[in-house]
This record gives sequence, C-alpha cells and structure tokens, in this order.
Amino acid sequence: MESSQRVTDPAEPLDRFLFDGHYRKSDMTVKWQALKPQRHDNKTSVYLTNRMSVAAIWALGAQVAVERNQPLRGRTRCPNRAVIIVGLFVELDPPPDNHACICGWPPVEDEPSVMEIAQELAASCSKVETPPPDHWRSPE
Amino acid sequence: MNYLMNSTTVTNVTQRGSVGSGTFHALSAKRSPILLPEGSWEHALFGGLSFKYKPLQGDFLVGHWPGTTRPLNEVIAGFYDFASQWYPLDLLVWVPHTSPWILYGWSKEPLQSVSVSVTLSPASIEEPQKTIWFGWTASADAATTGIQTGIDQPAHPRQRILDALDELMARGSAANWDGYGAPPVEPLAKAGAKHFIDLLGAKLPEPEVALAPGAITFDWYINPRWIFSVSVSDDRKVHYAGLFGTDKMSGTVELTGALPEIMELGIRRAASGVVAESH
Repeated sequence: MESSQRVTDPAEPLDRFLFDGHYRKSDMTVKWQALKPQRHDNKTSVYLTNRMSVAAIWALGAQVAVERNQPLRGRTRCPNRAVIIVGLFVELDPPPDNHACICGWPPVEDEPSVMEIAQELAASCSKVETPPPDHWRSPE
Repeated sequence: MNYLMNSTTVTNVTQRGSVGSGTFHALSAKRSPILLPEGSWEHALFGGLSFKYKPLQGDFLVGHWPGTTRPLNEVIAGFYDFASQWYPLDLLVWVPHTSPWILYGWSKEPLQSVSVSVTLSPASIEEPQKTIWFGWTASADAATTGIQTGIDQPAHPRQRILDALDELMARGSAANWDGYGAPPVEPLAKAGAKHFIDLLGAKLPEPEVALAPGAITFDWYINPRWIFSVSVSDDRKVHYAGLFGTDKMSGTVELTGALPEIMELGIRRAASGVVAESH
C-alpha cells in the first residue's frame, strides 16, 4: 500500500458502524471488541466522515448494513489522532471513496497486545449513538 | 405485598434514552423496600454500577458506586440493563413519582405488578458522594403471572454467565455474526470459556461476556479507562489485558485447574474501582 493512501490528518474523524451489541447500554460506551481487527486481514473497517452530515452518515450506515446483511445497531467515532497515538495508522480502502481501515495491528497471534490497543482505542471513542428511527431514509 | 392502583400518564425512557409517552396503570407500593443489615443482601457489579439486592423476598436495590458522579440518566440506563435480566424490557417503564419514592417500572398489563422504586430525592442528586440506592419490589402475585419466573430466586451468577454464553454462541455460530465477516466462534473457544467460568468461582464479581473476532471475552468494567478483559479462543490458554488509568497489564496464561493468580489480581483490581484505589 502506498503511503499516499495513508490518512495523516490527526483531526480526521473515523466512524465505526456497529452491527453487533458491542456497546454498553448503561453508559453507551463502545466495547473494545468492536474495534478488534478481523483475523483474516488484521484490519478494522472505518469510514471517513469529516464533511458528511449526520443524516448522510446514518444513510451510509444503513447502506453498509444492507451490504453486510446485518442490522445497524449504532456508531461510534474516534479521531485519527487516537489511532496514531496507539501506534496504528489509517489507510484508504475504497470503495466507497471514504472507506478506510485501521492498520498496523500486532500479529493476530499476539492477542494480549491487540486487546491492550483495542482497550486504549475504545477509551478514546465517542459515546455510541444509535440509529434514529428513520435512519433508513435517504438524507434530504 | 400490597399495591395501590392509579392511572397516570407517564414518560417512558427506554434504555436508549429515547422518550415517548403513554398512559398506563401505575402501581405505587404501599411500603418502601426495607433496608436490612448488609449481610442480608447480595451484591453485584454490572455495567459499572454497584447493585445490591435481596432476591428471596423479591426486593432489589440498585445503587451508585459511592462517590460516582455519573449522570442520573446513565444510572437509569444501567438499571434497565440489570433489571432486564429478570424483567422483559418492554414491561419496564420509567415513571417520575412523588418524592421520596419514584417508581421506575411495572408491567403494562393490568394486575401484573412489577414495580421499581428509587430512593432518590433532588437533594441526593446534588450529593454525588452519597451512596444512593435504587430498588424495586414485585408483587406477591407476580410469580403467578408467568412474566418473571425466577424473580424470587435469580439464577446463580455462574448459571447467568453460562446462559449469556449460550446466547452468544447461538448468534456467533453463523459466519459474519458481527457484520464484518467474522468466522463462526469455534467450539474449542466455548469449551475454553466454560472452563474459565468454572475457575471464576462464586467470590469474584460477575463479568460481562461478549464475542470478539475469533474469541469469547470477559470484561470487568468500571469505565473505559478502568477495565480488565480476558479472551478465550481455545481450551488451552487465556489472554488478558487490563487498563487501569495509565497502568496497563497484559499477557497469556495456560488454562489449568485453578484461576491464575495474575487474573484474580486483575479482576479484583478492576472490580475494586477507581475510588478504592484513590483512597
């Protein structure tokens, strides 16, 4: 992957859509498990949402949910800065153009290190927001 | 237990914090939950809140961790999570009531009385250092309604964890259970998780059980920066990671016949909370 595809702006917001119950309803915090990379590629899928309206983000989430055949449960946001601080990085991974992946995780065999980083990352994420009742509608 | 029946318009705050309204038959308890000596109650840590309950008489008390500054709406959401282990969520509604008691929930169906009460007054909201206990009571006839079987004798913590594990395995047995292409959870992971649950015993606090790609996990959680987690992906070893403020710990240990000491330390440190360590 060329470095030009790396997202370098620390302020870039990254949205992670949640399709499993990976958040605590008690305080709406995301669980670290939601950020753990997949074993087959060791990456965590996110979307760059800097210039998107809230309605457009939910519309995107609804579209992703259809593609992934899972109901959308919520979303959390983490600044790229938090990713950089824990020693990871974000690379663009289209399509769509604003899809990206958190990369640079320790090898999957090093589960304790992966957990440790995922805990740190989860602690930097925003409170989870749940979809509005009409989130499946297209943004106006 | 005796209840007074009233009809009232209420505001329904769901666990997600969305607000709606409707008219229900409210049940206001004639008596308040009675606080008995500490030894008569059981304690549980759930979602970062300390719960105190006495299941044998159908009374439950739910409380802030002493010194917590968590907003009331988070406590309410935590209560819903805890109460929903015994009561269907759709039968619980939040009802402001005259001080000092606030009913928090009951069955929407007439005569099926499930009430929840809270000893929270405006003054106590102003005093975050004070331990505030919430509670609910269930009517004597609730056991015959079929709504909340087991209300008088909640499942043993170990059984609750096993039940949660079974529920997760049912969902995690299909590929893409997380929407990101996670493979089905391996049977070996379940075997390892059950072994780990057996090692926890009854004296350690109850964990949150969850799935992660390739693993079954257990969390002892106070807040995002105060958490101890265990990950089990087979029946031979367990991984752990703890975040305690700026302190971290992590590693891998063999799954043997006893809970590794380092894990017990991590669990107890997480459960003791930030407040305990600051004193």
